[in-house]
Amino acid sequence: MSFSSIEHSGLGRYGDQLSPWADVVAVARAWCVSVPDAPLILGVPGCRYGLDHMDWNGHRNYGRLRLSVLLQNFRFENVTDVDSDDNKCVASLNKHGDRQLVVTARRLPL
Amino acid sequence: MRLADGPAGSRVQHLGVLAVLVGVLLFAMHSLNDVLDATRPNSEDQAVRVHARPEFAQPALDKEPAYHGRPPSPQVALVTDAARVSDGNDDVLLHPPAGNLSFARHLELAKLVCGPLCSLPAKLASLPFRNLSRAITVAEMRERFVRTPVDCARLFSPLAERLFDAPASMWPPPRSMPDELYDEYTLGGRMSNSTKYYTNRYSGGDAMHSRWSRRGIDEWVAKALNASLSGNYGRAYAGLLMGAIRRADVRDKRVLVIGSESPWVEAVCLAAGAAHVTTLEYGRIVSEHPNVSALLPSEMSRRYASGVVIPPFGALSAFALPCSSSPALRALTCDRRRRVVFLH
Repeated sequence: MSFSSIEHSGLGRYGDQLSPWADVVAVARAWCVSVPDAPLILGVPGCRYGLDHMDWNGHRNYGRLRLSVLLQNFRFENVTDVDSDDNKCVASLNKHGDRQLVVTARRLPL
Repeated sequence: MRLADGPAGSRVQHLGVLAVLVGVLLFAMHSLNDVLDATRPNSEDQAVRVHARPEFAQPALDKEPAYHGRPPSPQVALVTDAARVSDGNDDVLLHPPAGNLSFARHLELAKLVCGPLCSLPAKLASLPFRNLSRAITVAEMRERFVRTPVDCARLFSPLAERLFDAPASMWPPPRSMPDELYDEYTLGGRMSNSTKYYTNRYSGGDAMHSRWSRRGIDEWVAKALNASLSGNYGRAYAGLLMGAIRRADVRDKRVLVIGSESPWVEAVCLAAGAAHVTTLEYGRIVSEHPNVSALLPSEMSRRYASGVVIPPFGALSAFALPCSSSPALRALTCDRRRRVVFLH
């Protein structure tokens, strides 16, 4: 489970080392210490219309591509947002970067 | 007047046939463009989609994405050769280099740690992704599912701890994305980028709220149960998260929370029936709640490497560490005495 955290991984903002794949490593480590079929719930910046974007060094926005890379070895189950108004979502994401998608998935065995 | 009669009528017939042919040709070209657009991972695809959905005319969405430094290189293959990273002398996994590392060397070692996980899978590189006219669907995301080899011992090795868990030696971080890392950060230019620069250092120090009291967490659990918890993002997000956690069914299970400034996510998990929550956070947190504990990433790596006292998240039973592909790490993970990780 993670809410508004891994999008910052590896960008140096919080004193961590610069590492482009740190978000992927964080989720993969969770895979390593979880049992098969364990649920994964992620809150990450994004909108359901899915733009992959990097706001250096604030955070990543997760669209179709980065989300798919992030969820390697997890079966995607659902994605939800607090607001069904996607125009508001995109505007807010651009302005504040505080719109979070809640993504649920399940850990699969290799 | 009968236009089809005589030479004039014949000309009109020929013109009609020509118009039909031109129409068919234009339609074919349009369809071909659609096909090409659907497979072309660049800004043209975005431009087409945004045009189809003009209400999305927001900065960074309706224009050519802002690229840093140099133009995107969508053809760059970021695929790592899995065989290559497991060859050769991998003692560096156990004995990482000290001192500062260049960006290029850091990246090279990171790829040794995570192998094909830290690359753009060929399947995803070939699929269209900038479709702003259609919301992400479950079917679409499942179609994009990728199974990738994972070597957990590498991900928790001393080298991984050095690269991913240790605080940065550079402060403040660079104001712009380093050119050496551009392709890696943007998946070969497929992610647009802009700048919102922040510095909030606490890696290696105390977290934002370094002491979590039992009373405070229990109060938030009670609020989560009556839907009045605001958390860090307001009631709507707390409610959304509560719904997702309840659907996932964490009752009597152990939950790992990655990153937490204040224990609102932990409170929601406990409210949903979790047996225990372990928080992984860069800053040191002291939890006074018996069902909430906190670890630094480096502590988790060391526990994994030593093969003891990592709870298997999602269940209450023990599980086995997989063997590593690294000769240097094999003894740590394939020794029977070390393979079973016990619940504390």
